[in-house]
Amino acid sequence: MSQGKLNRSRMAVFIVLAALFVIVVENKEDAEQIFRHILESNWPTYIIWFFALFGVIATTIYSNRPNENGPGNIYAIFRKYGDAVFTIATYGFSGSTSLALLKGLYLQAFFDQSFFSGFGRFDLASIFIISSFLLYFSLTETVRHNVNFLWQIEGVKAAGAKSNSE
Amino acid sequence: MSLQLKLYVVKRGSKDKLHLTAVAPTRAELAIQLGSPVLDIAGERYSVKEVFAEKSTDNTSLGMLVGGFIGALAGGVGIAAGGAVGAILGKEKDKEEQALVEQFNKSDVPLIGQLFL
Repeated sequence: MSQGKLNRSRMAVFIVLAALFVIVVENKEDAEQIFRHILESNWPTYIIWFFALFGVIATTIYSNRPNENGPGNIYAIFRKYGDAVFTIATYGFSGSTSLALLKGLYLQAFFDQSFFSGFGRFDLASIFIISSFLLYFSLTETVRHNVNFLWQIEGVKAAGAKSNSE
Repeated sequence: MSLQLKLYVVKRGSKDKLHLTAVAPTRAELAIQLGSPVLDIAGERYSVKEVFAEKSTDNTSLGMLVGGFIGALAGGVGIAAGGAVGAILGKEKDKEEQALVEQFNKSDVPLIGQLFL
């Protein structure tokens, strides 16, 4: 970002969040019902898994990053693909599990349903902070993978020239 | 794994950037990957010296957006707090990515012989 210039994407995000703030504050009960409806449906989980699978697989296939082969070393041969499997599992499970925990906390806090009986306020606050961070991590990393894939399919392939005289 | 730079060359005779599918942390590694310090890109020949890197994502915006939406579960204050925390975490990621961009842009081109060692 150049100094003294407004960053357009940050400005757009600020406007979206300001609008969301006004909507949530002005229509508190409706907003709570909408969040409850979203959390109780399975769609957020499906979306997290879909983007984790799609983003990581697509970037792995389209990336020109070399697979570090080494004779007789199975880990080296399958490294790129092994990484992809573990990455999908990390993003998918961290996203869906943290979302399930946040759903429980939300329904307990705003709708008097009991999900965490026997947990104190400190425990619940800890679960909220950890789950929020995990969900943040999963969503930002997944989005980043999908963005990387989108610019990669737009990219041109470079080939090493055999000699300068060719 | 997800910190990935966008590599590009500036198209001759214009200011358009041609983004490459290749990924490498330095010019030397790019040349080793492609087997030559001279590259054929979209029908034109470029030196690996003409390849530059830039950031692929604005992590501050992304962090602010995701943080704000997660915080919305806690109401209006949550949006502000989540957005602020997300922006701080995203800014840190931007610094890491900027360091990688500078590492690439300051990297030297290998001597031809080094490519085959």
